[in-house]
Parts: sequence; C-alpha cells; structure tokens
Amino acid sequence: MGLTTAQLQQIKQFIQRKGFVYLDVQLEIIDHVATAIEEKMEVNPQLDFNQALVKTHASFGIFGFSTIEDAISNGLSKKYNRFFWRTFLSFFNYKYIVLLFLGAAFTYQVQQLLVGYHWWFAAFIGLTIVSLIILIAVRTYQVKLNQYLSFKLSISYFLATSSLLCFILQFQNQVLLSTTIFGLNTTGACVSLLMVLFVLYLLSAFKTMELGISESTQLQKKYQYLS
Amino acid sequence: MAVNNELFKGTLQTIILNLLAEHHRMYGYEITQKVKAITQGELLLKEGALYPALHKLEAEGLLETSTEVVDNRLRKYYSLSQEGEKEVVNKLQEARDFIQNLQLLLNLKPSF
Repeated sequence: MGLTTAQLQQIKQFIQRKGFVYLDVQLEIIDHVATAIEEKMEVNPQLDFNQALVKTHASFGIFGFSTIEDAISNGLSKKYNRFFWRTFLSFFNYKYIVLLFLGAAFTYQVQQLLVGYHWWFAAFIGLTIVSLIILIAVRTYQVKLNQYLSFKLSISYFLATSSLLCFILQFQNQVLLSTTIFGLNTTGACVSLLMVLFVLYLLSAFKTMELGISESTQLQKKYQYLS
Repeated sequence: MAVNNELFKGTLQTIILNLLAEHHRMYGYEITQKVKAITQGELLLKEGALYPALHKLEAEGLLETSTEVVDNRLRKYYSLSQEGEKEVVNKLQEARDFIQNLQLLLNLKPSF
C-alpha cells in the first residue's frame, strides 16, 4: 500500500522538526521511513499512519535519524576529499609537469624583476582578485543550492585559501635577504613553488565544487519534477 | 538465537558487497529486509550499522548510486562500481579463509 502525497509531506515535516534540513539527507530518510511504514501498515492493517511513523522512528534507536545524517556527511566528506587530492595529484602527471615547471620559472622571474617594488603586494592583489571571483561564484550557487549538504561540503576547500595565502606571503621579507645557490635565490624559488602549488590547490578546490554543484543540481531537478 | 552484533560488524561490508553482486542494485531498506529474510530473522541489520557502511563503501569508490522517482518520492539505489566488482571477489575469499581458520581454532565441524 503506497503512501499518499500528504503522508509523505507529513514524514518530511516530521524529519524537519527533528532538525534535518538538508534535502540530500532527507531524501534517504524519507524513503527508508516511508517504505518501513508501508510495510508495517501492510502487516498490521489496524495500525494507523501516525502510530507506524512513531514506531519506525523508535526503531532507529536513541540516536534517531542522526546516524543516517552522520553517515551521509562522513561519506560525502571522504568522497570529496578523495576527489580533491586525486585532482591535485593529477597535475603532477607527465602531461602537466613541463607546464608546472614553466609556471614556477615564470613566477620566479616576475618576482625577481619586481623584488624591489613590493612584488608581494602585486601578488597579494592578484590572488585576492582571483579569490574574490571564486567567492562570487560560490555565493551565486549558494543561493540556489544552500539546502544541499553535498554542495556545502564541496565548497569547504575554499575556507583554507586565505590562510594558505598568508602563509606564503609571510616569506616576502626574506626574499631580499636570501642566500643564492648557482645564482638562484633559494627563498624566492621556494615562494614561487608555493605559489604554483597554491594555484593548483585553487584549481582542485574549484573542480571539487563543480562536482558538488553537478550532484546537487541533478538532485534539485528531480525534486522539481516531484513538485 | 540472535547473532552477536560484534561478530556481524566485521563482515558487514562483505555482506553488502555480496548482496549487491547478486541483486545488481538495491536501496537501503531493501538491504535490511533481504538480510532478515535470508537469515530468517537471525540477523537484524540496523540502520545505524547499514548507512555508515554503505556511505563508507561509496566514499571508497566501491559503490555507485543513482536516484529515481518511485511512488512520489526519491529513492537512492546502490550498485557495485567496477572497482567494487573486483573487490567483492577478494572480500569473499578473505571471509572464506577467515571462516576456515575459525573452524580450526574453535574445533568446529562444518555443517555442510
């Protein structure tokens, strides 16, 4: 015996009252609870919907639905983490290694040319502009996909960007004082390498966000179809 | 006689992978009921154990998911990924070896 749309709505409200607001978390709980209720009412036709709902919730134990939410949250975090690092490491593939080397060499040359002219300030402004563009993109999607845990977790890699940027730029004073090996300013070379790694971090974070957006949008379309 | 949950936990991932290998794709509630039916109620797979295992397997890339509209609601189906299809063979062999060693250690005679 299938549940009515009103009963499914009642389950949704029940779950929301328990504090589970993300739609991708609700999806799995609603289907599990609805199927369990349907079965309970089929086995015992005298059982009404509300009694079956309370019984089903009780079967989840003392932690209630939070077990499912924790499982989904941990699973998504691990999935995006795996994707993020796989993407990051893919840039060290032989196809990109020459590009990375050229990128580091270019950054080093620019830094050496501008070392007496507050190069770090130009770098800071440049990377801040890039970060602002990303922030605007994130905010735009946040309005549409804020109710999806997958989207929220996929953008979490951007949280570390300002700390990473500050970590790199703290070496700016030491570039002028650095020792040279075979004419290479060692601190300058390290800072150039860190900046390239920072750009790769940003690209990996962006690709992870794209995955989160794609998964959340697919789900959103199905929800729109239902309503 | 109900089976001790601690004994069950260690083989949960193997059980899920094997069920999905046999049934192509399943949803959460269906897995709990299938375990109950196969074991005639001896083993009860609780939600608190099932979902963490499912999402862990998914995060490890062993499972794939798809969402479909069923009976006016969305249903998430789990199935084996290519990696999962390879892993299920290893997991089953591990489980067989473990059971064999357990039989030797506890002087149990196989009932088959």
